[in-house]
Amino acid sequence: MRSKFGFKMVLLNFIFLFAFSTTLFAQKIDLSSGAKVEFDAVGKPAMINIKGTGSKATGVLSFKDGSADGEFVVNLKDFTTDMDMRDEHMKEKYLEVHKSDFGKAILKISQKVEALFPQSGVWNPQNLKGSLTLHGVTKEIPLNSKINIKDGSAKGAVNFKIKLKDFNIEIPEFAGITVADEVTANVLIDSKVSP
Amino acid sequence: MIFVLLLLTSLSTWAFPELVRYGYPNCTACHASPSGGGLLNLYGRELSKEILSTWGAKGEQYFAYGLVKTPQNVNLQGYVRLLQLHRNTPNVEEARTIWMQADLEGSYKYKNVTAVGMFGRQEKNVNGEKVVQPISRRLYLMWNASENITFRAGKFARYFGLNTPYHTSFVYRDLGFGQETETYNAELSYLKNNFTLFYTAIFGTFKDKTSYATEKGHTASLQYSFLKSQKVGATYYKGRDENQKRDIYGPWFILNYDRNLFLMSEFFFQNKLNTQSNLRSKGYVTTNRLNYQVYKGIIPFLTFEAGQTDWTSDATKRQSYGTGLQFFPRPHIELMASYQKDRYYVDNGYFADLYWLMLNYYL
Repeated sequence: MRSKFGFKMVLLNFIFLFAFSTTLFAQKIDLSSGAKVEFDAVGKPAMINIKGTGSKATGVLSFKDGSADGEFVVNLKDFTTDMDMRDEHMKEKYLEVHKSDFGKAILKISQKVEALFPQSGVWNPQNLKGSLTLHGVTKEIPLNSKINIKDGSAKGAVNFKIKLKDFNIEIPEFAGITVADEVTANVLIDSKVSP
Repeated sequence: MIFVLLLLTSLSTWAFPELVRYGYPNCTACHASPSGGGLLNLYGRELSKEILSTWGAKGEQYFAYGLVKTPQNVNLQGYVRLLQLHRNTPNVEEARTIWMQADLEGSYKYKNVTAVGMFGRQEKNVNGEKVVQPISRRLYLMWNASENITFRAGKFARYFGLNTPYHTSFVYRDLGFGQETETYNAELSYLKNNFTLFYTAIFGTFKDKTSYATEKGHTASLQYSFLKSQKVGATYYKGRDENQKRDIYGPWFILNYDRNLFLMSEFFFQNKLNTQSNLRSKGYVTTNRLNYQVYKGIIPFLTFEAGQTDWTSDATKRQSYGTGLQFFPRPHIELMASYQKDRYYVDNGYFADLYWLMLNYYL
């Protein structure tokens, strides 16, 4: 009798501890504390490397019970490519940032991930996907993520490729240079991790 | 006088392959010509203000400061260059101001075909007399057969090495490439991903007296850009005239630590046969320039050059150490000041000092 009671107590304790431990590992990255967004595009035919910088990501990415949830919000108006005229064309003619809801890109992540977010170490999940809203179009895209967590901070990147046509963005053309359809975006994270 | 002529014929027009450090590995980003130099396209005009110049106002970078509008398929550019030089050797001291260039270049594009022509004045020394005569440094037809392939035929400079405008360098001066060494050529350029290939068949000058070139032949260059801002390449040149045959080959590169610190190097071997005497000479030439942009458009630099085009003759051996400053204050303007100490090994050896200041203005 006593041993049965003891076994139940051990089992309950184990269940309690397991349940508690999963919530104990719940963590979130506050992107507002330091996340930049850049993009790389290629201009043809001269194979120009165009780098867009200057924009920040805001939002919170949470990890709990084996799920990753959250969203990045990027203000497209902040991007610059080191050339005024090209920036003007990019924002006004192609991204049309002046139109309602076109000024921001939003990347949502909400899925179970096999790789649990560690308290310390590298988070490099496979098959991570996100839902990107850009230029009024929402589309699911595969994401590559590698984030190093150490001493309460997260450093790394989430990157993904965008096909401009998928988002109804006209292929940019400027002064004889045509931008290739595929653009790579990088969210560079250097943010705090909090429980 | 001979030195002045060498310098005169060895300073070329605007072309800045070092802009690879900003992610521009190919000349066609900025220039009408696939091998760079001269006529800027609209993109090149924008870059001249945005990344090359210290200051610049909106619209200042355009032809005639935007005061003259041309149709979309017409492009125009004017050039003026002045040089002030001072040279000391144990036997000679000279100082001169030279009006080097006053040219107008234009292009007309119809579908995939572009005609380019440049017209101006040339000062030449003929039998000790200064002769001023009309010159066309570039006159060619270009066909963009596809996004990757361009054919060009007519008069233009042979593509060689880094193809920089710094043609006072040993590589260009000693090997006979530079301004007013243009020839009549047919050129194929092929650009794919990070590779660019140039092949040029050189048909000579057809008795064009404005060119100092004498050779016919071929040249091929292959360049590869990597890490979005670095460039390496190699050139092979085969030339012949009535007095000599020669092969030149070697590597070149532009490597940079960041956008501000960058090294440009060229190294060439030459194997030359004098067809009159049947004597063969072998040697090398190298030019290296280390640059540091302290502020946008302000670039001090150090140079090291060496060469000996005939291993068996000290008369062909030279070394040079130098420093200088390149300044792009506003679009349309380049100022360059340089000091070089050259060491010659002929006649028991001597040193020469060369100072020069160049103003390059384009409209």
